[in-house]
Amino acid sequence: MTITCREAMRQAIREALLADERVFMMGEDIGAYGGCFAVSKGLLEEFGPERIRDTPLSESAFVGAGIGAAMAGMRPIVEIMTVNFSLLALDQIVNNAATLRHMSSGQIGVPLVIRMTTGGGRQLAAQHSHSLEGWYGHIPGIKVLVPATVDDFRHMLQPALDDPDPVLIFEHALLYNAEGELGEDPIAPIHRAVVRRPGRDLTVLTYGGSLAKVIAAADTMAAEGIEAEVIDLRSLRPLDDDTYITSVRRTHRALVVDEGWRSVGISAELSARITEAAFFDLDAPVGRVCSAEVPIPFPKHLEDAALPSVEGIISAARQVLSDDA
Amino acid sequence: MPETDSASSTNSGKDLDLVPFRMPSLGADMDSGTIIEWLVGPGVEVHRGDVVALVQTDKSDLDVEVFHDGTIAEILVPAGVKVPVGTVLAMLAAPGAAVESGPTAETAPVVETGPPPLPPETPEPRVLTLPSPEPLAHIASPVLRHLAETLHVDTGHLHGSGTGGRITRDDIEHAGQRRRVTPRARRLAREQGVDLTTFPTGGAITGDSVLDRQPSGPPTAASQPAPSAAPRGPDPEAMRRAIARLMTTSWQTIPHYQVATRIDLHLMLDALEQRNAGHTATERILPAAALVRAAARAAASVTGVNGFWIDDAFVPGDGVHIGVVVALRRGGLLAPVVRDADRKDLVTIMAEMRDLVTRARTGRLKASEVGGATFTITELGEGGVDSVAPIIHPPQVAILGFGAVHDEAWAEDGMIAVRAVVHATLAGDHRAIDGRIGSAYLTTLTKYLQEPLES
Repeated sequence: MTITCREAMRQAIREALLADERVFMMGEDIGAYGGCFAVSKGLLEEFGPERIRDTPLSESAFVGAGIGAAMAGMRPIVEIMTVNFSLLALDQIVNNAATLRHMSSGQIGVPLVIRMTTGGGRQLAAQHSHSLEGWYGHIPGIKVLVPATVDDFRHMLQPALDDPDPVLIFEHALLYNAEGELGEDPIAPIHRAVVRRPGRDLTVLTYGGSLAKVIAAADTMAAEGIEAEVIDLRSLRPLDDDTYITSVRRTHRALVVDEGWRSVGISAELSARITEAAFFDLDAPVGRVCSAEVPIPFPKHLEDAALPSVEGIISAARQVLSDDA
Repeated sequence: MPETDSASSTNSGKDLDLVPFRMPSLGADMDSGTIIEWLVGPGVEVHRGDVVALVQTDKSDLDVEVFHDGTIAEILVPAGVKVPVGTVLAMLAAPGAAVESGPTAETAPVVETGPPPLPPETPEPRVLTLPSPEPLAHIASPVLRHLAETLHVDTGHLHGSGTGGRITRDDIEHAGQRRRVTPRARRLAREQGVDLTTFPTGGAITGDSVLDRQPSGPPTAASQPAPSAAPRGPDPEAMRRAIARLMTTSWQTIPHYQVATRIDLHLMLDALEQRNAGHTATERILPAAALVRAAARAAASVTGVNGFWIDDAFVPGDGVHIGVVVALRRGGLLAPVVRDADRKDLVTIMAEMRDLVTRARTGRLKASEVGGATFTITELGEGGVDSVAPIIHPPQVAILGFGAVHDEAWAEDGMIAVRAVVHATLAGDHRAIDGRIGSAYLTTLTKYLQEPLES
């Protein structure tokens, strides 16, 4: 069955609400309006205002409330409109959600799921377009999931709710309308990276909104006889080192594609881990394709220039493959 | 550069009794070597056996000794240059012929610029000048030599852009850039004994380009981490590939024949038991050492089994150097070499085998310790099999395999006795040696194994 990622996430939320009465959802405009990205459309009518709760425009307050509810035994799904706004709740996420298990000697857990959109490409300018999931990947005590396919939008939520600790799910806004075939079962446990496209010549590591660009680039290169292995990380914390290191050891070349900024980001972390674990298997320096180090611009041509592109990925892959790398 | 005229220096050299010092052959498969470092300079007095230079071969770095007493008159091949075996590296003045040291010649070029020299009747020392460094010593600075080594630049093939063809820092860095080596390529080259300086320039040397090369030595010479490397041992996959290549070459190109015999070891084992009675566990001599020694002595006395088949001809070994196959616990094989095993006593052979086997299993062998074997022994006794039909390690011409030592019924003098017996199988390269020689070898081996122990 072919559905959109939006529909896949809505099905996942609905299934969770039906399966467990402790599950409820809250966020800005998720009820009467149906969600800024229409993910929760229709849920208020089906489940009522007790379980589909509109909140004031105060990320710190409703994320904090979600943490409290989770500590008290509920299984909240908190939606933050975009990752940029999550910074208002950063104190709650970093200082409370991520720490309480540790600070209570394991006595108090925070089984909370926070969903938020991320990424650019919609001309929403510099305050609504950034990819900050790498920042969250820095923080011990939380898990960071980055679904890229209909399957993962559909099947990552329940394992996240089942996790005894906070899980953040970053949904690239451009994916909501992306369609794909829905499978019956999850492709892999949520913490595992998967090979989306096998290849022998180089390994391309990516996730979320960049996956489709990387697949497109790999298909183009395949026409020239270059077989890129595409790895979908799926989780930025924990990182599934085994999967991508094994691949790099086989292909001897690696390229990281990340819509985040290059400096001090997840692409730097991946490059470092590859160098640590597979240095003596490398035939070229690890390559990176990231967003330009500017606030994401509003004009379309500038935004396009700032974000990773299929052409840019192909060009970087050629560089990694060349002997002059 | 000394202010001398090279013609006159050559002339003055002719007056003396000069002995050439040549690039020695440091292994049957060595056809050239690179001087890494001269440990002596002009004017230095040397004695037979002194180490005068460090030479790099495809497999390892080796100290090179001088074979004559005398004084270094001239260094003809500077460090960093690769030359064929037999090339004159330096000239030695016979003892008594005084040679002035370099710095003095530089500051006081008496012969050339002073008044005509007196006939050499006075006790005044005769003077040899330094060779002009320009035609050959085109890379003089140790700093540049080090840079060249670091960048894997073979300066012997560089065209110097400096005055008089001197190699400059720019030359080396430029060549080094063209010969960038990836981490994987460097690892594979080290493991498989591939010489990176032989690769064409242009583009980085990658792992695949190293894998495309045949190793320059057998897998035993390969697969070794540098002695200074962490004791992580060889990469099992690379070692497997190297073994695969070597064994395929052997099986496909060498017409093997095998001859086998049973050997009664009871005398040897009794003698070893007596000998070991008064010794601690670490001083004990194991039967394996006695087998290696007897096999080496037999290889020395039966002409034709100890050496190599190279270019359609038998080349005898430069001594009896026995490669002893060691199975590594995590898979793969190494064959560290007991050199001159026919001339060593049992205690020495035992001590060397203990040391080599231990280090083979911990990945701490030096490349020089796994190269240069002239004959190989494999012993599968530990596994309990009766006999082994071994495959020759090219370019050697024979390999000896021992099975386990078992008690067997043994007919002798019309009686049947129970004796400790080993099955020995010699595989020979039929291109080089016929069955008669293989048979003679086993007969001789049997004879040596019946003799009393020597130590």
